[in-house]
Amino acid sequence: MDSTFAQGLAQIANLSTILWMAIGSVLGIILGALPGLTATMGIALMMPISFQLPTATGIGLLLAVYCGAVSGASIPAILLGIPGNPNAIATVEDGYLMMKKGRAGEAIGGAVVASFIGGIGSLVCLIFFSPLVAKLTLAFGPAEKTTLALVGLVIIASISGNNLAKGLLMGAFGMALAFLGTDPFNGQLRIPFSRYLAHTPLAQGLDLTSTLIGLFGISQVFSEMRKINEEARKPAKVSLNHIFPSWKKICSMWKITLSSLGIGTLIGAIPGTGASIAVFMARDAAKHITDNSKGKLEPVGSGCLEGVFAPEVANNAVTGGALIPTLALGIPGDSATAILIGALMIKGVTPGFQLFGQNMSLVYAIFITMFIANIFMALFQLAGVRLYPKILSVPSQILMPIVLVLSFIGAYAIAGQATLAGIYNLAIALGMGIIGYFLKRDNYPISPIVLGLILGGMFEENFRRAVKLAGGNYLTFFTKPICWFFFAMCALSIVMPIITRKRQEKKA
Amino acid sequence: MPLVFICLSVLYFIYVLSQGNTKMIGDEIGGDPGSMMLPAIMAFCMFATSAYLFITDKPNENKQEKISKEEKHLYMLTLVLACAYVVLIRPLGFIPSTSMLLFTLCYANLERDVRKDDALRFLTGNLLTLAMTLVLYTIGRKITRTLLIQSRKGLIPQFWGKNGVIVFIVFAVVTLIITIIAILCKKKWHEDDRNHSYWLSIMMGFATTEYLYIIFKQLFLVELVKGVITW
Repeated sequence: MDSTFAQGLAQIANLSTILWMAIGSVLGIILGALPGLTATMGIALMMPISFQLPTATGIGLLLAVYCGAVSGASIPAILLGIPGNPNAIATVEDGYLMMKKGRAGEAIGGAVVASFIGGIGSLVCLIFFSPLVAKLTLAFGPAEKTTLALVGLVIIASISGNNLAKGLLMGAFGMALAFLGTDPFNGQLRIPFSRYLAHTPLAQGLDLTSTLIGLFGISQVFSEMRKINEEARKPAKVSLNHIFPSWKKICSMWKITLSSLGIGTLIGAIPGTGASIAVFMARDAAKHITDNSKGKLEPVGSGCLEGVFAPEVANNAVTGGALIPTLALGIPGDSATAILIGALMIKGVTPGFQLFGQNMSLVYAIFITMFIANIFMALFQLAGVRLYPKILSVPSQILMPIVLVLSFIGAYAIAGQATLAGIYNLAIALGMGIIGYFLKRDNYPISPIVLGLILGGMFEENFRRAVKLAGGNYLTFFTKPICWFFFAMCALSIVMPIITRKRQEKKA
Repeated sequence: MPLVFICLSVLYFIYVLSQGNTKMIGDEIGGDPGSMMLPAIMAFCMFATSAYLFITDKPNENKQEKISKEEKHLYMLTLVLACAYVVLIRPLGFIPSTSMLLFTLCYANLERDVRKDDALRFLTGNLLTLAMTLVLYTIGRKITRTLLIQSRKGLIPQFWGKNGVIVFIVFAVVTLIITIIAILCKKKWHEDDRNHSYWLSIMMGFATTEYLYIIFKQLFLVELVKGVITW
């Protein structure tokens, strides 16, 4: 362990990694703070840069953006009363009330401390649980891996969005896109108009990075145009004097901290759930704790630190939690970690037991970068606490064209020296951006497409291998207990949302 | 939307069927399901779910926000410019196409409309942005070449010829120039001035293009197409 840990440390113990992570952290905080820009979009835009860097440095950059963006969303939630992204949606009520009471500095400082605790706490869980989960996959053969991929896809399709059929349709669409290109088993071309496209980069299938950039970056530019007539909301001038909350206050909220940490990590580890669910659950739990504190804690909802602390611990705890299935099983916890898997795959690293068995030094490097990312997030957010409110007044009329151009350059740059492939990537990104815009407009969830794209390859490879090993017998999937377990999970994740919805309809 | 996906899945299914038997000869016995089995299943899944949505998911027209005329103009402009960018980046090159795209979009968005009588301002703005970008590019290129050649000849220490050092120097010089221009512009064109959005768009256009060039071309050595910029 010692030598692999040292190797992991060596991968990131250089100025370049630290510098890129610092840049990533600041960019992440800015991206998180700007309404309309999300953590997922930030990671997608940074992916081409990470591709140019060594694996550990590149992943460190993406993790820094991820942690920074999740935490940075609390700034507009507190100062403007609008969340930077859905991760800070539960911070708005108490945070904005605190700002109105003249306690904005304390609210921002508390949010940073809470984010740091959430990030580090979930990292400890990640370090402890991910090797254990990865070990479980030792018992997995091709049939089990096929059903595991299916579980990941079905859970995300059923949870994301409010319509199960839309989620499943998007998952199937993503998989259909993943099957485009060359068959990995027999080299047969699987693209329409193959007569014309056989000698183009499209013969290798859709470029993953360009597709992600299109779906998350370019589609957002088109979506944000609806707000083109909105003026940028400038935060009122607030006193930011008492930034750091007292230790006594922080310690008095230990129950809230622990419950939010547990909720965030657990919810993050369930594929498809994400921080927007965790923050409300954590806030509810905190409300219950404060109501029973016999006046020792201020009640959540009254504009108090407790109401900021709970969701902020939870949303950053999701980052570590989401990385557990991502690294251990290769099943992303949310769309942001789906892009992280994409970044690893581009680097030739396959998450899962293979990663833990053969490349443990990289796993350690990821753990260390996650730790540094959380430190940077806290440092830079506290250091720039008077600067970030100014960023909020940058008009989206300027931001969106820059995001569009960044998306294009990112898609182009991933091809490196191959300019023709770069041009094809531009076309893919634009095409997917337009598709993504129309899907978002009609409330179709985008995450299942990404999951379909990423898990499609794993699903096909293991499905065909399993059938081949069974001599063409498709019933092989029903002969293994682990497969049955996964089938049951699939069925549950489809049935549960239907039952919940019916119950809600009855109540209404 | 469901109708689009029904059509797409039917076309996909027809395509899969048109491929015929995709099993390899050796796999006829081995049991490989062939290349097209999973795509066929996905086509079926897409068809089934989109047909279900077509029947059950009725679009609520009241919920759809109406898009204003100005917004429509901006949508169309962005779409047309994005398509033009993809098509023209190779013949025109990275620098001209990116700076012009940025200026046009920034200015149109800040003005919140595209009007015919603004054509002259769009034209002059594009030319100015391009000219400024080219000036910065030329300065950066001159610094890069000078440092590289001098260090190779041994006239200056080899340290100054390292890629990282050159990128840092170019970055610092470009930032200095941009900062001076920004301060001058801020003094001359106040926020309530009509020219403010015009000059702001020019600034954003050339500064962003130059920084992107430095990061991707000089730092990461990505082959950004030169197009008409031959020097």
